Amino acid sequence: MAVVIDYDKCTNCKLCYDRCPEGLFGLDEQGKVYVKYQHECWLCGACQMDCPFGAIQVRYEENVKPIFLKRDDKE
Amino acid sequence: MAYQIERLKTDVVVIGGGLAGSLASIRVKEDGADVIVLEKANTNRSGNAGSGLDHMFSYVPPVHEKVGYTKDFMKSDMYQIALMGLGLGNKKIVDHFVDVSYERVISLEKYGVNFRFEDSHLAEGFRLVPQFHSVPTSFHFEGRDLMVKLTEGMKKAGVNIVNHAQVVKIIKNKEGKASGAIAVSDREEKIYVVEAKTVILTTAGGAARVGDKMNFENPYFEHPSSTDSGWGHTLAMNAGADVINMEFMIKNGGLAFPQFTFTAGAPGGTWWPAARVVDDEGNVIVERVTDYSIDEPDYLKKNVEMLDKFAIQKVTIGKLLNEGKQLYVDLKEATDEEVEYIKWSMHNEGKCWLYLRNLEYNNIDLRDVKIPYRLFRHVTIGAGAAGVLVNERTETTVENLYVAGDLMGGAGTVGAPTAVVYGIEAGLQAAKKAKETTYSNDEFFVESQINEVKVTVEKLRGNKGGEKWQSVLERVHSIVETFGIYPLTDGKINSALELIRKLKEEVNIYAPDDHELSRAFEVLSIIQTAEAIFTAADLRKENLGPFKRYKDNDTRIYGERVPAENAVLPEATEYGLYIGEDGTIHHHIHKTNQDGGEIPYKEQTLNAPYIRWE
Ligand SMILES: Cc1cc2nc3c(=O)[nH]c(=O)nc-3n(C[C@H](O)[C@H](O)[C@H](O)COP(=O)(O)OP(=O)(O)OC[C@H]3O[C@@H](n4cnc5c(N)ncnc54)[C@H](O)[C@@H]3O)c2cc1C
Ligand code: SF4
Ligand code: SF4
Repeated sequence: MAVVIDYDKCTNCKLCYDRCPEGLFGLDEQGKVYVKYQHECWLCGACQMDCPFGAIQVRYEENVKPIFLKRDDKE
Repeated sequence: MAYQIERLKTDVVVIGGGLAGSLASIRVKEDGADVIVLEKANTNRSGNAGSGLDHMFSYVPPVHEKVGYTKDFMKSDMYQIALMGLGLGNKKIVDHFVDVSYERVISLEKYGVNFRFEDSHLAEGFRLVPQFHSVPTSFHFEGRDLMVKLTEGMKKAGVNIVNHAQVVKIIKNKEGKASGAIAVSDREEKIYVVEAKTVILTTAGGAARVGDKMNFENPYFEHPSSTDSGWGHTLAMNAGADVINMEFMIKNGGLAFPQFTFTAGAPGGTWWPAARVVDDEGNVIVERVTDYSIDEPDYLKKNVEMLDKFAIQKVTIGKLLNEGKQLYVDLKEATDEEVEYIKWSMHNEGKCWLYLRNLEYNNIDLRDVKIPYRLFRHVTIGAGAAGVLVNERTETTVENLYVAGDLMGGAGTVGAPTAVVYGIEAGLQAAKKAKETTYSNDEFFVESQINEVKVTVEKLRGNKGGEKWQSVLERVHSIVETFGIYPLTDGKINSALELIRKLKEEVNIYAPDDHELSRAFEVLSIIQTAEAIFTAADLRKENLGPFKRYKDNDTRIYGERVPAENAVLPEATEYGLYIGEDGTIHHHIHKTNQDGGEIPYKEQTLNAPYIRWE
């Protein structure tokens, strides 16, 4: 699970930095946005929704904590 | 460290620019007063509604009148929701809600939120889904970007929004009236001091972080951490306002509301009506419901029967989870059309949008998965009755302090509709009062309050030998996990209180930057909230519904529903906690006497003899 910025797409507009409700993006010494407090994400998806350049992905998968389990009785 | 102080002055200051706060602030402006919103994050995406809402209940005259579902019927439904049914709550808050809900909820259309659909078979093009009333009452609507739209609305109305400003103290004047707020930035070394004639507090009312982790490893975490730290309760208590029913914030698992993670809900929430709840063996615990056509004869009766059955099934969910059974939300039986509809609603409901993206990413269809329930073990935000004591005008026991939204105590159920209806109400009341009020702060008195905050800030930032906020929080969790287990006993409560008070005295946090400073403040609030919860539990001696103090572990909240005509509200006792001049928790006792209609409002509370906790 992670909040991942694709720097090939990111233009450093700082929208995510400004809007993340948990304030978890930071700016490095060059003023570049990065994910500073990964652990405090509450998985709201706002950053991925709003990034004007589609540069953010917030990912989770079934095995980390069972958010969903694949059915075994699938026809 | 040189924290710069920025002083501002306005008629009304709103603390927390979420759903209730943003609507309150617009209403203040419309009524001709000035307003500043202090928001700890960014109003565009902050708070519980930040990444979207898809349903909101209301009395809907064009639909409900047609099927014989009256306002009184809806009121009696609501008298029975959660703790309300035990007498903990305020009938007038419910009544006023039902009376004005339609016009206020639908007023969101003004901001470009869509409530009408061409394929609807209901009046006005609405989509309604069932939630907890006898007939479907919840608008299904397109609310993903609601907060973005309300932020535009605030700007258009001329509201002064200050983002990244976490309020840590409500300013009081010499007469003990609320007269402003002090906030600390999480972006720069800055303290905002806002003086105002009246104050609206809308920080939401969760406290799940008292017992639960909020982080990536806990994707079940239901509410944004910034609203779940008990902030609202402690800000209010420290301002001297009564906070009621705190003991109900701690409960055993297996409640009838063990919602699926992202508050999407299973039956009863967004995924209704195509979802079922099943167990490991595939037994159906809650079956899918029927979406009766409004033209069907006996529409009301059929829905009532379905709801009654559902109420019982909800209790069963709680029991089974408590017994260790694993239950799942299951959409196996949904048709293609239903799955599309569910996806539309999930697109709009907070966190579910991201869930859909992740299912896509994993190349999974909703029908291919089972979604496990989680047993909430300790604290949940669940209790709508817990919060700041207010009346239907959103007044509190402190003059010039108004509270709306999830933080309201005695509202029966809290959620977006309550936040909308009472957010607007708070704006209306606070603006009116501000016009009759003059600035009353004594400069010296304000300075001392600013200084108090400054000293705390400097201590937290400069305290290099101190603990990380996370490790202090772990200590709170250990206490709650050890002693917050049902049934509560005097022994457990006393041990918890002793340890919490010790922690409060010893606490020594180091905040290396502005962001961690805001977390450190949250932790201080969490400690105080934990103390309030156990204090309230200590006061509550009798077994009352779900609050079984000495007996078995029945954590029932939803009992069997009483038919509308027989719904009577019992009388109950509420303990109103507040922080006294000496800095410790005191309490007032409030008797709810619902049928006499008199809840201890401000006037009565202050004149009534109350028992001091000494
Ligand atoms: C994922 C999710 C989905 C939901 N979906 C629905 C739904 O579809 N229908 C429904 O009826 N309900 C829903 N709810 C509940 C609903 O969102 C809330 O009831 C509603 O937002 C409460 O409004 P509020 O104004 O009281 O609090 P919030 O909207 O949470 O706003 C509180 C604000 O205060 C700010 N704040 C907190 N502390 C401070 C401080 N110390 N200083 C400054 N600011 C502060 C927060 O950042 C936040 O912006 C959902 C909740 C969640 C979490
Ligand atoms: S919003 Fe997108 S483009 Fe802008 S800084 Fe963030 S990741 Fe980069
Ligand atoms: S998902 Fe939400 S909390 Fe997590 S980084 Fe994105 S905006 Fe922040």
